[in-house]
Amino acid sequence: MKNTILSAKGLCKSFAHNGGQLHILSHIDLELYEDDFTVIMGASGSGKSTLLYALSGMDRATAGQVIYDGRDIVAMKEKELAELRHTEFGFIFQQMHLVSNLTLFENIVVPGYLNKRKTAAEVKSRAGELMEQMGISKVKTHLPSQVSGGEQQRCAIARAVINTPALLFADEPTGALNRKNTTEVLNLLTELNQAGQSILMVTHDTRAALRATRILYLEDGKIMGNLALPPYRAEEEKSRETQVNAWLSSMEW
Amino acid sequence: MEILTLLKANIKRKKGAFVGILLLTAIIVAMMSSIFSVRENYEAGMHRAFSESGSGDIVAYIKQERLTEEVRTMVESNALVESVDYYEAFLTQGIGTEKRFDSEGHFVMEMREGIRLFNEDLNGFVSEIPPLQAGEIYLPLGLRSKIDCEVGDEVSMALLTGEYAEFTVKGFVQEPSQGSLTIGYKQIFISHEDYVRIWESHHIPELEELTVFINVLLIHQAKDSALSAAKFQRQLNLETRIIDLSTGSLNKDQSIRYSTLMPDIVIDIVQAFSLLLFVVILIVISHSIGTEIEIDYVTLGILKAQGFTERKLRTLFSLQYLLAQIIGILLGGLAAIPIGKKIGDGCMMITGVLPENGLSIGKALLFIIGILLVSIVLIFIKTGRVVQISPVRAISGGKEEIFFDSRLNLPIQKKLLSASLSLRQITSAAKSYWGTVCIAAILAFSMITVTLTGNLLSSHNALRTMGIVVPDIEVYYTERDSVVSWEKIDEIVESYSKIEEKNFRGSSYASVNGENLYLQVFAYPEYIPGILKGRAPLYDNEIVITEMVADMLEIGMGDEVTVAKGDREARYIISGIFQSANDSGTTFAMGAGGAEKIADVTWYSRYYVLADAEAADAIAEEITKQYGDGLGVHIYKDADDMGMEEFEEVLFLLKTVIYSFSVLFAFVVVAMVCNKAFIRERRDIGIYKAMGFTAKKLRMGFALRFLWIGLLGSVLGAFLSILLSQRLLGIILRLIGLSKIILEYTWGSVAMPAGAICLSFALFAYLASHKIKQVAASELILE
Repeated sequence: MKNTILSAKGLCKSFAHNGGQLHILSHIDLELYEDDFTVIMGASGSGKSTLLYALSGMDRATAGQVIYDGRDIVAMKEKELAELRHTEFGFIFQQMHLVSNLTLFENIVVPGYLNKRKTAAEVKSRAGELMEQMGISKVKTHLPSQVSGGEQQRCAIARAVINTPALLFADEPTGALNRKNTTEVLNLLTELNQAGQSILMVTHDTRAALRATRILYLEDGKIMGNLALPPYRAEEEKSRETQVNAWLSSMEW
Repeated sequence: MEILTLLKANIKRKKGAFVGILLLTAIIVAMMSSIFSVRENYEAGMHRAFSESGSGDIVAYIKQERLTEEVRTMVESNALVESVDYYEAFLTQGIGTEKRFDSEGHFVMEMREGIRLFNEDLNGFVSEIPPLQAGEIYLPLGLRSKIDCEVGDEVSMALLTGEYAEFTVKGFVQEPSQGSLTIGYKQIFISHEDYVRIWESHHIPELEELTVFINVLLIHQAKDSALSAAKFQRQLNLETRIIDLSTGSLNKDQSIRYSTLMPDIVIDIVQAFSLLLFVVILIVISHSIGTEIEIDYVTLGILKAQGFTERKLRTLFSLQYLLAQIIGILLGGLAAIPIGKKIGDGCMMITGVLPENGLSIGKALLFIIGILLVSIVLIFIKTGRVVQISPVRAISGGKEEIFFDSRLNLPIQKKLLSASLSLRQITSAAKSYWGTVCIAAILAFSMITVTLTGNLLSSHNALRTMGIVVPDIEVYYTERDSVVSWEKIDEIVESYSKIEEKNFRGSSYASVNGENLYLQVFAYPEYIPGILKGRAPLYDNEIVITEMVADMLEIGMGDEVTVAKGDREARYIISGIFQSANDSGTTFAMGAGGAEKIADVTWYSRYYVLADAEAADAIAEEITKQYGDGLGVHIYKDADDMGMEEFEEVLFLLKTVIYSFSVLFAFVVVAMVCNKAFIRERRDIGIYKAMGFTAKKLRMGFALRFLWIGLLGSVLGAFLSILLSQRLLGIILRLIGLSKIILEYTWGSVAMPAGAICLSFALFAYLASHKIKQVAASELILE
């Protein structure tokens, strides 16, 4: 029996559109589990990213609840959400979104410095380890504009996990990367997950979805399918790919 | 047409910059246009007042017994003289209310022709002047603020008999020759009944030796004489000695100069400040265009790709900024009318004369054309970067890294996270902030300079350099026939404190080569303050003169001059040049030995500079205990005691104006720069929010960033002040005869303006960054 790390009940998100309401998410009920690598898939416009940000508190849901650690994220004030972001959650974006005037090292340590439970030395030491793990320690003093997209994304991953978050949210983390960099980033995420990091990732890339232990299929703002997978192993990729593709076909992907 | 469409869209989208430039331009146009008009109006008002009051080109006050028939005939028949009007007056020892007392000796006379009575609102004159009844008095307008009185108030006049006469102020009059706040002795008007009564009461033996009864001569220059009033006075004196025989005199040029001196100084300082503010506007325009091109790089590339030529794009920028300036000019021009009127009213209380109501359109237009021309050149230069935009590169997002083009390795600290991040924002985008730092420096420089100027009056050292003795205590006879041993007084003083300096001083008017000047006499001339060149007049045949007198009479050190007073004259050598603000710098000084050659010198008071100023109260108490009412003691506490309260008030007003406008400019500039920074950093703000920064923390970061800018600007401003303030003030204060001043830098004089700049920059940045609240981390989402 897995422990629930985050759950959503009746989650809705709609926008005003042409005088009416455009419903992106409708009454989603969902549970995310500890140590899972959950992937949300779906066609463009299905509401995957909206769901990710509504679950993470980056964006406010129109209705419903998102419960984390017994607290409803939807009802949280800005200060509480900010606290949650730098202590419990980590984020990886498609466009990396590194602060352009901070070096890679500084991009990683800044959210660490926000964490009152860690000293500056601890944060620096952890950042050094992460950079080593991500293979970017040689470019630690470079600005984001001076490194490749892959290095930027690896830095973004290190930044996301600097505070050892309970849950890591990743929005199309390989969307802007070439094939080689995509593999490197996916390997890193897999490594993190297998070391105990819970991850929720949005992607439309089947290769990325293969890394998941659970795939949710979203269509028109509703969860239409749920596929559970064993932990990823490189040598089983082919068979895993067949299984996932078959399932996606059944979802009319 | 397409340009107009884009122009409208740009103004709508960038209304912050548009309104900012408009406001800043409006402020300086309003300031400059109003002060141009104010100066022209009070100067024109002085000339009009002279012509309608019949005050003459020279006013001379001469003791009745000295105005012999021979002197009268000589003056009246002089070829330079058109006519002479004669009036009688008696001298007083001062006048005041319960609140303030002015101890200058004023000339009291019956109402004379030509004098005009202000109406109740002080914005015009009454057509018919009601005759004065017993107990009523008309005062020149300059006395209104000097003794703090209004129509209907009771005033006491200190008579030479030692008695006081009480009057009710019936109204204020325009008397242009001496009616201003800045001229000491004034003409005061009472009823015939009172005049006769007081005149008779002064015919007592005790007053026989003194100057009590005066003939007031209003001497009109011959219509065909082209001499200036000053040269007319000098020539007439050389030919008739009428000025030497007078107790006091003033020519029209001197009256106008002394009356308008204070507003002139204020206006000069405000003008210099306005020009600095114009430089601020240029920096703001330059910064705004630069960042706009960076932010709109892609849009401009698209426009180019659509066929917009570089010329059209540059025209678009020019129109956008010039339109803001033109609207600002129109608004500022309109605002200048009521502002000019208000300032003019304030100046009227100083000059004592109703100003004209005109608008200085010519000068204002010239200034406006200047503003526009300089702005056009700047806009043309700054929009040159449009030429470098390549449509292909811009559209493909391949523009150069423009936001963070340089950086210093200042570490990001956990303990000072917001402070170090804000510092990084500055160092990594230094080009974007140098303009704001320069603006902060200019504002800080202005504020430090005006603070230092205000401090001049509270620094004994600075005052001494300006030729002003600052004693701690002065002991004086309360009765002219008192007999006191000054050695005894010295002993009392010395028993409480070491005496740093003691001196007798006196003053009067005497002529140098025919030019009537303010004479200062010191018993111990070695203590004459403000010697700039040469040395003090240690010998009986020596004098020191100011630079202004040297220029006016074309004389210098080593020259021999004739000094005359009454019917006596002697030759003196100029031993040195000193500076003094007395009589606006038209003064000379000598020792007691020298003075005895042209006048009988009697000392009625002696001042002391003490090693221990705190002992002054105990000394005063002891002297009063020993001598009772026979001796008076005055303890000098501050500038008010130096008779400088008017200067203090004007400097305070200046300080208020400069601080207020600096803060206002800081507000507009910070709001504009913050807005641009916000647009450029919107994505970063989202990232920081995603990391867990709160809006409050990010706003604090903005505030800290501008605090650093304010601090850096203040440091630069302080350096600028060290380099320039003294010279700048030297140029302006030359008007009152002070060419060398010493500005004393204290922590307060720098910290207060710097604090005001830093605080306002930080506060306004915090307020202007309220839009951070609207940025959501979800903006980073790509759907």
